[in-house]
Amino acid sequence: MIDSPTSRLLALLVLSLAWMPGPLAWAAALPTAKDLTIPIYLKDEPQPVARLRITDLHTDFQRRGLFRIGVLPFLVAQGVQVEILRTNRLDEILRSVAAWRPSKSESQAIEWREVKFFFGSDTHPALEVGRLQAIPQGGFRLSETVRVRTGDQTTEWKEARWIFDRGGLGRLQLPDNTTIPLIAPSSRVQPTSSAL
Amino acid sequence: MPPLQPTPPTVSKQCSFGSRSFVARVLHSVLILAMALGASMSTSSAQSPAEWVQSGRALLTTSNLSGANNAFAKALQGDPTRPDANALHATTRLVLLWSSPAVSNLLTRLGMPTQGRSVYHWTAPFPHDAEGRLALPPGVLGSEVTTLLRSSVLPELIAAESELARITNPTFLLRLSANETKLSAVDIDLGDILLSRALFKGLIFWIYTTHSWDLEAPARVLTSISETPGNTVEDVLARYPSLLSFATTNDMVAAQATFSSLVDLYVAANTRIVARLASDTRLFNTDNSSGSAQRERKFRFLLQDLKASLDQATLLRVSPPLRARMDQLFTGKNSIRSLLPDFQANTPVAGTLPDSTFGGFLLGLDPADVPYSFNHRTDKGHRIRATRFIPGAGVRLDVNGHPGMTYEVLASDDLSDSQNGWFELGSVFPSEGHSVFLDTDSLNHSHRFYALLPSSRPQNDDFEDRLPLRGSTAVAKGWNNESTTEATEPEHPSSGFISEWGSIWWSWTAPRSGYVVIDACSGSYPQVEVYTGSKLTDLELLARSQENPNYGCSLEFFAEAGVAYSIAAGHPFGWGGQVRLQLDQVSASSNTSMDTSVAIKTLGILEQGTDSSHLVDNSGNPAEGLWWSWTAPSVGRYWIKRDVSDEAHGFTVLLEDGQGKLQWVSDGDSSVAFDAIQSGHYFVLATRRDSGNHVAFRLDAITAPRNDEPDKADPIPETPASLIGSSDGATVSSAEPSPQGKSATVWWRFTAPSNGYLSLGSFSSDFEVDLGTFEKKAGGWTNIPWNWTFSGTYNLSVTAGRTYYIRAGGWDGESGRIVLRTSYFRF
Repeated sequence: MIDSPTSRLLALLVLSLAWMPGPLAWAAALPTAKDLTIPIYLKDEPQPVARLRITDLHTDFQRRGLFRIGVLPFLVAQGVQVEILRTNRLDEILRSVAAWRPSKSESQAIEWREVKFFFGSDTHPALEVGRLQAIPQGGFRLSETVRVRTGDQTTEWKEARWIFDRGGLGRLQLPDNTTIPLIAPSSRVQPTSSAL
Repeated sequence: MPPLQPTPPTVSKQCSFGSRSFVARVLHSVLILAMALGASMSTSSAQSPAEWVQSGRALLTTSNLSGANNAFAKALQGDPTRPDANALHATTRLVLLWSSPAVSNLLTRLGMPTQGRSVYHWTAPFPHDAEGRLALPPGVLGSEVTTLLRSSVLPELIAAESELARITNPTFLLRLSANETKLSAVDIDLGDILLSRALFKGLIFWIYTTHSWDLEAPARVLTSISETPGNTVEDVLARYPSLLSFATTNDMVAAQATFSSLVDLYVAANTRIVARLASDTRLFNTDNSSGSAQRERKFRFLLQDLKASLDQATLLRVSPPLRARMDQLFTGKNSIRSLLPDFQANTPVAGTLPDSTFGGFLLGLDPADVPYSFNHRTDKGHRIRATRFIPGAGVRLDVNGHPGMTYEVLASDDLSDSQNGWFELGSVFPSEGHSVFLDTDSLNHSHRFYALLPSSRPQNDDFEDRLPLRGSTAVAKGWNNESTTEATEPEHPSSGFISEWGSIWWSWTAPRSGYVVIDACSGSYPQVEVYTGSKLTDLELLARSQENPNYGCSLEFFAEAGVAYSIAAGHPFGWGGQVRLQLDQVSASSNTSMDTSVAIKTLGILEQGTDSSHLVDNSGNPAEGLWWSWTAPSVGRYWIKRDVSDEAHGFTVLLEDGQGKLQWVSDGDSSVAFDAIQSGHYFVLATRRDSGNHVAFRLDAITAPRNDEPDKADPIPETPASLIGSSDGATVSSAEPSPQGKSATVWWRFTAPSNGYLSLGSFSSDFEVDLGTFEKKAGGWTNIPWNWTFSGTYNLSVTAGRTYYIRAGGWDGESGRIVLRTSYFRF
């Protein structure tokens, strides 16, 4: 009752004055780009195992209350298409995808918006997500819309966590802690990838 | 840049008075002192305020906050009005507060480790228990925290705010590098300064307020309130009887003044921030994501209404029909404790709120509804408040419970009999949150135990048990979670897959003849039916509200004096919940024609009436609305602005031609503006647009917006711009293209220097602005299509040399501040 508002207000005070912990200084000069295609490799594979297509890479600012705070920038990848080109080692591929950064000097997470996951030559996305952020424990935090397509059926949730499992595509953990296993449409995925 | 070292003074040895007398020695000493002082002063002035600011900023890059703060203080000594020095000194003094002995000691007492408290990388946490809950050390009182805030933090905040208040230059811009902020480069302008001041004022107000409370209880207790027995709200309030009463009322006047100025500062800051170019990034920036402009608008309106309520009762635009009197919070008469209801664990007990106006602060709440605002659960919040033996009568039980709920009173004469120990004595219906039950059987027993059990079935579930409503105004309350439909009930509308309409019933006898409105627009939005007839099998439907509340949640009928009506409430979609019906026998205003029109004598006064235009009369014909008349005192622009208390009416302005005939002048819903002629005799007709009877508007003089007409359109520059205008008082003239549902439009124009596109956005406007783009050609106006983009802006392809007109207006006459952000891109 006493501590919480006090600490929050004091934190806000500090925030409002632009003095905050230093590690976010990386964002001082965030990159901007359009229509990127990025191959994703595994260390021991000569061919790309996934492909990222990003329509727009830009900077946004964290929201605090009714305003966006100019000293809290973060990178946004808008319109992201993730193409998974392999059927095996999916967890490793996803971890590599989650670890992608636009440059080596940037270690902070990027928010992906309007994200679609495709498997192989599929023309329809198997998974569509409004907002996606990699979480340090391994996996993605999905929000706004989470739409999973299985055959002709589409199931939708508001938010979920995508937890990677060894060897597979992982599972979705819903806010009520129920988990939905994700099964890769392996029949449609090419056994080996083609070069970009 | 390090501060300069003082230059050692030099002393002349030519000064000689022959013998070194006492006087000579004194004079010599004075001379040395004067030279020393002069040297010292020349040292201070050797570094200009600008240089001190530069030194301070250099120290910021080395994380030397204390040194930087000293340097900024030196700069202010040289020039107290210097804007950047004020901004930086105010900022650093507050950041340094964290490491001040007072704050630091308190944090230590609150169990925070001393390691990890660098403001640049704060990692020290407050202590938590194994389950992650805050666990402050015992012994620290809540009042210690508020006292420290009042004594140590508040003066610094006030001083910092005062320093920021010296920054008034509209072109002020302070550019801080990432090295200085240790975060990210940022530009700070006057809008940021004003918003920071508003934030500081908010903190000052909060400190004044919390310091006025009695918090003489361990902070550990106050921060660990939970469902655990012993830690509930009920337990804590019982253990500390003066908790949240007034500790002091000394700061009330200061708190009120602080609130008033924080509102002014916030509004001023918002005006500056929305006026920035879209490409400008500052410390505080508008949030253009979905719904955020609306949230900001609501917040601003609430602040402005609360500030206005410091002087007089003010309708809250965000929550009509509630009105506020915020000055009542600063009288020092009503502490929070005195306004709290009783608690059962953490649940407020129904019917125990001592004052539903919260000390006169909030007007318009139904006292019986207030507990629902706290907790919608009906299986909690009831209790037997007291038992009293009345000789010759029995035991009287005072019961609290939710209005509309039924409670069974259980008794036991032998608690050890677990099988048959409890038996039912009867039911109670706490219609206003409390009720009384008399156990006459108790006279035959030496002792008895009582319990209260909420009943799942409503008291008025069956037609035969309908509850009476009395008078021409009545409120019916109930719950139909578990209500049933009797087999012989008339057929109710069904959603097709749910058969249980779940009716609950009331009876009402009209005290006089007249129109009746039953409003069910609250709670669970039930469907309502009104019947005549005295038996369930003979009922005749008179009126029914919509099945889907989205299409209307009230009904009207004409009631005959002395006739009994049965009212049923249920849900065609099978859901249940709280039912609240407001029955009003409408006394319609008499100004239902030109001949009976009410004369408007003074501009700016709230005109009100009760409209029956939507009600059918006995012949089934609707009336036409309510009429006002007005004679224009002078030529000029006037406008009718619908008041927030109006229940969805539209307004038509008509001019009498001198021969008894009326000419249409203008019409609109939210507002109507028109140009009056000298001594013109006008009529205002208010007609119903949606549910509700109350008509409320103001007629006032207004200045027409400069860019009201296309030929007076404001130019849009080639460079990105944030253009601020207002459509208040705007009209649609015959020179404009078809208004398509808008009655207040303003114009901008853009002449393309080359092929390209023009990007337009209207975020941060005070209403949902509809933008239209046109070209003027020989045959009239041509509508030009635009492309909507992901970011919510409109892109218009433009051709070199052509002029494009941009119309901005709101639907149904909505008007207000318009913020038009524009950017032009060449191909």
